[in-house]
Amino acid sequence: MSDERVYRWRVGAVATAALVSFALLFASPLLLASAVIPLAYVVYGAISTVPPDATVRVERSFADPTPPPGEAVRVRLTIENVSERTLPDVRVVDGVPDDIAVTAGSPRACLSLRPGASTTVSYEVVTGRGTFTFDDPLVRLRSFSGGRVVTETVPVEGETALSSLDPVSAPPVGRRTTARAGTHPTDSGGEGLEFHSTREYRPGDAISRIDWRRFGKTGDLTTVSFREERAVRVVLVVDARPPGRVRPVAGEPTAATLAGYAAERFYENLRDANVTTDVAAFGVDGTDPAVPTGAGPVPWVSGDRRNARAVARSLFDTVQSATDDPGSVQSPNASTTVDDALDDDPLGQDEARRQPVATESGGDGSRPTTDTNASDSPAGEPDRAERTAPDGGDDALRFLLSQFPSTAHVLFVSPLQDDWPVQFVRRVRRRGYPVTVFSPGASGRDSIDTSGHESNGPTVGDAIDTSGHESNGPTVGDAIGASVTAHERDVRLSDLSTLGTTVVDWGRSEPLEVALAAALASLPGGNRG
Amino acid sequence: MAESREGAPADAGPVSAVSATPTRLSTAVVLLATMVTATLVIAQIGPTLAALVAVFHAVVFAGSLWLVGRERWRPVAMAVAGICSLFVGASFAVAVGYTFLDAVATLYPVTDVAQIRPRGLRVASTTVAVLAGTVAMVGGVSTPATGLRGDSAWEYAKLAVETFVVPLLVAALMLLSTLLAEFGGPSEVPVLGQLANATGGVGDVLLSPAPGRTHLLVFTVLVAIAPLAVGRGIESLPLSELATAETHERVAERAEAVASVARRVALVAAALLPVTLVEVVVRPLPLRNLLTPPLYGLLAWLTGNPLLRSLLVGTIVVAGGTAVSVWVVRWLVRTDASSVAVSLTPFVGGASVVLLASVLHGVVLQPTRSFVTAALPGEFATAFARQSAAIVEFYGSLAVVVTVAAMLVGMTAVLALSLALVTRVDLLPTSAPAPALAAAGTFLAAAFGAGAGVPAPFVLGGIVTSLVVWDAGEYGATLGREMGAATGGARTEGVHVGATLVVGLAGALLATAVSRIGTADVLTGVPTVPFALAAVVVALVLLILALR
Repeated sequence: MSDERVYRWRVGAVATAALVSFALLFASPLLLASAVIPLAYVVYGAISTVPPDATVRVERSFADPTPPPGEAVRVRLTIENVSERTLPDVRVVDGVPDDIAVTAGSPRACLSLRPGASTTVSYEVVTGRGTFTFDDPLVRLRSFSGGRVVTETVPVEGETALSSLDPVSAPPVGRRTTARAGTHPTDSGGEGLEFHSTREYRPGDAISRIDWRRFGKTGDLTTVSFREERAVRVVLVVDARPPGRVRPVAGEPTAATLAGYAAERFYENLRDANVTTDVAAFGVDGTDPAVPTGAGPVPWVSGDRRNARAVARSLFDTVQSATDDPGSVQSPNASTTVDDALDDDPLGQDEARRQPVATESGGDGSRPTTDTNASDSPAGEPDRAERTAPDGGDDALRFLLSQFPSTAHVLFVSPLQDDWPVQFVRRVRRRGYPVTVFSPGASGRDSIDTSGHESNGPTVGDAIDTSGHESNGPTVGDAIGASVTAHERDVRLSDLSTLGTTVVDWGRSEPLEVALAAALASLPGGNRG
Repeated sequence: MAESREGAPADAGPVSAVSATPTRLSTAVVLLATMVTATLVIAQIGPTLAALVAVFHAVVFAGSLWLVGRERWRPVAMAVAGICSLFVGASFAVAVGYTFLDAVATLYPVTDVAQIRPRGLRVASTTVAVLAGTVAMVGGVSTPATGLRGDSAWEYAKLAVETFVVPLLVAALMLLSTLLAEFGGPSEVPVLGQLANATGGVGDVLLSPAPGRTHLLVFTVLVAIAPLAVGRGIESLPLSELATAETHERVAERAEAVASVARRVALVAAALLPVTLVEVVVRPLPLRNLLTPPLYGLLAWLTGNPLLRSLLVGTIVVAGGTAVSVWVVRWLVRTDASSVAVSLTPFVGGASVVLLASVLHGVVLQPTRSFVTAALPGEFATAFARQSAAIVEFYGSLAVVVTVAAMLVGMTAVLALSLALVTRVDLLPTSAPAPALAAAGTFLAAAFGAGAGVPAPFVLGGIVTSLVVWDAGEYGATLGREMGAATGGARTEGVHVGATLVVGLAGALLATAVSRIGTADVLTGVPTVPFALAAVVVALVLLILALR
């Protein structure tokens, strides 16, 4: 606590002396008498003070103490004057953590409080993943004249920490389980329960499927086809590449962070419904021993493996760590140009060619391995990081797709901040897989944050700026860049729709639960009601 | 532990550095209170026109300060501010000058010699009160415009001084040429004509020397300079950048060869220069006999050949011009175009002032003379009318108007420099310079207004207003810095400013009572001087106690 005296009214002494001088100059009794006025202010400044028993009580509450990352939470701060004197000037600044963004309202307030009176100040914040502890608010009291200033940190009552909703403990999405285990009828004919079509009998068809009734009437042998039953299987693909690690304002989670969170929520819901779910992640360093990989370098967790859930959770933890790193946008792989989106080089083969890929004998000669890369690279660790490009190259993608079960429904979670996801989906669709795309937006807010936060990383407006300079906060140029980026994303969403995919676009202003439920409802066996 | 110190308390953590913009309520209080008070005081002691023009002056001055602080459209903003400097000076001259003339006209001539001094004091008080009121208005209008800062004041002073240069030079040239034309003798050649004659003479020496004699010195100088210019011109050209990879070396070699030859020729010519001085020492006829007539004739033909001279001079001009042009282009490429434009805008502004004066000189001169003549009393008016007519007749209306325009811009430069100096030596607090200026101006206007005969309510009201303005401005600036300009602290501000106003009104009432007691014989038998001394002692004791 600090108690300071501020000599604001020393100017009164100067004015008094000046008036006395002028009075002598003009021989004016009026001016001599008017010297009382500044003198009165000097006395006023001297006798005005902050009451010694001046105390305020501060209570904080959150509208939702465990919000999903990216959703706005209203914070209420109630300040009450518990002393017996009027406090004419109470200034409060709440202890908002540096790494979360205030998106509406202000955590600062200037109040005048009578004895026993209270005022509530509210503002909204958006958090990322994790736990964020608020500091005690700073309170500054001033006297009527402003000549006495008392500053202290007041212990807050009520809530002090915000924790993002843990996907593991989150309740199920939607009113009912949206995807269920077991089999589901498909559009192809064969063995099954539900009638599909009839055709001419071929030798080898099962006798039980011959339409005997028709044979009795017409003498023609026909075979009945039923809708084939297939086991529900989902491949969950997360796009955590650097182009998606952008945020609308400093302090908000990146779009890739939200993608990772949504993917984890999907996974937990699907596993709870006993749906076999495989997981793949782009943008994660596959050479890290802690990261599970499959046949290729792209991180992969098979739903059939032992401890699949635990392994998948560790992969999601890795995704979260990678996507929360704002500096990774400067990766050379984070090109937002269309170079990576060419049909003949959809996955950045040029990037793969730039990397010194050494092959190991015994394989097909075109498959990079971490051990070989480490031994052949004179640069060691940096080259290894470069070679584990976010998409791994065309060969890596081919290996990945080869691991997809034939009956899988692909659930692709991507911020769609560049053209690569569209190329990826096109490639998956060519192989006949049904695809649902869930995309968290990078800029869902209409206003630009002018609170003076320093940027903790690139904003959406920087996504198209490849000059590499650091942002000092959103500007008019950033607002224009955000509009362009949003428009480009809309075009990608439209392109994905034309590919026959189900697209769920999650704008940050709408509840995440609603968007998750819509995406899960599109999966086979999912309820739409 | 309590600490006592001057100024604002130490900002702790997140309380500091939110915004440098003062709050809206404090800005409104400063602006309204200052403008109303200053206008009323000026209107009480001077003509109404002075009050109106003072308001105009404040708006233009504050607007100019705002313009020089702009980053967007900076060249345009600086040019406009430069042009506005004429109006800043003109309005200041009208507001203060007209008040002065009006006061002089009202108070003079006197019937008694003893009245000269007090009336002179009154004229001075009136003028200073209007000047202070005008300054107060500048501070008041600058508060919402947020244009008054230490750096912006210096920027504007620099702009005003640079803008002043152009009309000053033009006016000086016009006046000088007129003077020289009048006193230059029968030729009556103006300065520009003499310059043209001089230029023509030099041309004849270089290109068309007198035939029949040698011109060794000038010819050798040209022969020495020409290859030097050629060499410098070739070196300045971007030959290596323009050549291809295949021709690069060949081009460089040839350029070096030419430059080398040029340097050798220049060296030889320079070595011969002392020899050529012989024609300065020896007269042509003896020199002719010394060198033999054929050789002298050859040298005379060679050194006096107009074609050869033209070739040499042309070579110097072309090569030198090339070198200068390339240097300018290189400089422009390296320099930001915007910076160049900004550095040139004061001169554009000055030229615009001259242009404006040139266009309007016929329209403004006579009304201005009539206005000033009407403002002056009696014989002063007659003398002014006579003198001004003579000046206009002698120099011409254009020269007079341009000179007056230059003086007005000069006045603006002085005002701006004064303001810049005041901010530089921290006479104005950096947290709220505009409100402080407004408060100081209002205070001085009220104080000097008392000497100019302003009624007591306006004097006391002015003093109270000045202190309220200062307090509201400083409080609002601190609140804006700690809380942000739009954090809803209007109620708190209202409480604070209200308390300040109440204290001021109480002080004004007390001052009124003291004034009446001191000037009236209310207390019979109580001498006034001892009473005043006692009051002063009490006040000093209170002051010391308050400041401890």
